[in-house]
Amino acid sequence: MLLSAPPQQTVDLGPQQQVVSCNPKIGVHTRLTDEVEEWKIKLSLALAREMGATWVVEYFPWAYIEPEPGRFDWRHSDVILAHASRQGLSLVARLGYTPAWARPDGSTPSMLPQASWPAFAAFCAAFAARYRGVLSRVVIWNEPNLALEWGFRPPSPEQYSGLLSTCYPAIKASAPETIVLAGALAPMPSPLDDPTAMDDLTYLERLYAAGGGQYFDELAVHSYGWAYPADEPPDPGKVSFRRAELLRGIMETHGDGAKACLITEAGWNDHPRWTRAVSPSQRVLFTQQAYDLAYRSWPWCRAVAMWVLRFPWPQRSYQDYFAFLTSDFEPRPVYLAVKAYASNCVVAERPSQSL
Amino acid sequence: MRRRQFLRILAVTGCAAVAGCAAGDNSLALVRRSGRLRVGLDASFPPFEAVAPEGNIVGLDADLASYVASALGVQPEWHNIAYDGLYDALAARQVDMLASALPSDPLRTRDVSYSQPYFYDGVVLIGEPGAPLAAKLADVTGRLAVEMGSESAALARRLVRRAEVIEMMSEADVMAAVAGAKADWGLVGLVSACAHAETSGSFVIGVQLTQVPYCLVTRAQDKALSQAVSAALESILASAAWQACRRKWLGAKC
Repeated sequence: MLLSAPPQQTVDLGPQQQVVSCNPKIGVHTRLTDEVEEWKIKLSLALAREMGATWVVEYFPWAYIEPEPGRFDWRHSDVILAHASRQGLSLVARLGYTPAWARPDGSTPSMLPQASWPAFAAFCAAFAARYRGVLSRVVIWNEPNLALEWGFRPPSPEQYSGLLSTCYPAIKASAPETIVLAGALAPMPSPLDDPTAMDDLTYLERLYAAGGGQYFDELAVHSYGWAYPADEPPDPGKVSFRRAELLRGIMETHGDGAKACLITEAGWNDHPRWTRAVSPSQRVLFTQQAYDLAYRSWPWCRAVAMWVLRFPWPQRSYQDYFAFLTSDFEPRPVYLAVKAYASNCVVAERPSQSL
Repeated sequence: MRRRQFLRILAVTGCAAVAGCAAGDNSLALVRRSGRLRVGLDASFPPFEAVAPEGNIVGLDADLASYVASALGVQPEWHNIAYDGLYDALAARQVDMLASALPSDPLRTRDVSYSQPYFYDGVVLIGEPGAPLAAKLADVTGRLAVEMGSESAALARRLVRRAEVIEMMSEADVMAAVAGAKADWGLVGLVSACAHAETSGSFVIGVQLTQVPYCLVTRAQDKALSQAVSAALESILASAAWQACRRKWLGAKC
C-alpha cells in the first residue's frame, strides 16, 4: 500500500528567486527528462539562474506523460515546472516522442502518423492548459527535416505543416496566451536528393509554401557554430551560428518579420578529438560572443539557449563536451565564463594580448 | 636484433593463446586464421595516429599496433573510423582491436578489456631553463600561464595559491610566454610540451600533474585475444624498439 502511494515532495521549492543578468537573452537547454532525483532538478535550474540564464528549454516526451490514451502522469513535469518557476526562469517546453499506442508496431518514437496528430494535439493542449501562467512557450516537434526525427521517413514540410495546423488551434483553444513555436530545423546543407535530411533553408521555404506560416507564433532555431567563430558570416553551404540570419531572411520574405525567433539549441564543443570541436578557449570566447551578438544585433531573436547545461549521467562521447556542468555539477570553464559575462556584458578579450 | 625480439614476444603470446583456447574462446584463433588484425583508430590525432601525405596511417599507435600484430603472427589492417564510432565498431565486430590513444574508462569494462597503459598523457608544469622546478602547484610563485578554459586552467584555479594565473588562447601561446620569459611557469599537455621542447629547447618539463592512461582495447568476451594482446604489449613495452618508437613520435624529452 505504501508503494502505491504518490511520492512525497521531498525537496523544498525554496524562496522565489529572480535572475540577475545584464543580457536577458541568455538561455540554456537543460536535460532533465531523465533526471530522477528532485534535488538535482532543483540544483540544475538554480545553477542555470546563477549563470545568468533567463531562459531554459526542456524536453517533455509525450510517451512519458501519457503512457496510455487519456491517462496522464504529470509528476515529473510538475516538479520541473515548479522549480523553474521558483527560480524565476522562463521555460520553453519542447514536445514530442510518440507513445507506442499512437504509432505502428515496430516504429520508433520519432514516428507520428497522421492518424495520431489529433491525439498529439490534445496532449499539447493539455500540457499548455496545465501549466498556464508558468509555461512560456511550447515547441512542436524537433528537427522534422531529419528522417531520424520524422519516423525514418523522408522529411516532408507539407506533412509538418499539417501537424502544425492540427496542434496550433488545439493549444490556442485551451491556453490562448501560450506562444507556439514551430520546431527547430537541424542546421544542415543537404543535397536535394538526400532522403535522410532536407536542407533547413529549403525546408522552411516549403513550409511557408504549404501554408504552415499561419500556425506558429515564433520560430525555434538550432544554430550550432561547429568550428566557426560566432561572427562568421552566414553561408547557405555551411553550419555556423549566424546561419540563423538566413532562416530569419526567409521569414521576412514571407511577411513574418513581426514574429520572433528563439534559438533553442546552439553552442560549441571542446572535445579534444571531435572533428567539429574547437579549443576550450575558443569555446569560451565564441559562446560569450554569441550571446552578445544576439543581444546587441538581433532584435528579432528572443533568446539563445545553448546546448546543454548538464547531462544526468556522462554520455561518454563528444556530447559531454557540449555540457556547461559535468554530471556531478562541476562547472566547466564555459559556465564560469558565461556567468562572468552575465554580470557585466563584457566579452573576454583575447587573453594572449594581455602579456 | 628486432627479429629476435619479436620471436621472444611470439613465444609469450603463444602461451596466452593456449590459456585463451582452454577457456573455449576462439577470438585469437579467428584473428590468426584470417591472417590480419583489424585495428580501429581515428587517424586525426598526431603524433598518435594520422594520415600521411602518401595516404598511409602513421603514428605511435600505428607502430604499436603493427608490433602487436607481428607478435600475433598476422598483418595489421587499418580501419580509420571517426572517434565517436570507435567503440561501436569494436562492438559490431568491424574491428578486433582499438589503438587510438584511448584512455581507460572504468564504466566501459563490462563490454571491453583495456590493456595495461602504454602511455600516460596529462598536464605538465613547464618552466624556464635553469630555474628550479616546483614539485607541486601550490609551491608555484610568480606568473603561471594556462590555456583559457582548459583542464590546466581548472587545475590552476583549484590548486595555485601564490602565483598570478594568466589565461592565454592556446597551449602554443603558453609555451611561447614561458620561452620568452613573459611567464615564469606554464601548464600544458605533455605531448605538446614534448614536441615543443624537442624543437625549441626553450623551456624545461617538470612534474606531471595529471595522468591519462592510454590503452589498447579489445572486446571483453574476446579473452584469448585480450590476453595475447596484453602479453605482446608487455614484451613490446620492455623492448628497445619501443623506446625508439617513443623517441621517434614523441621526442627525446618524453
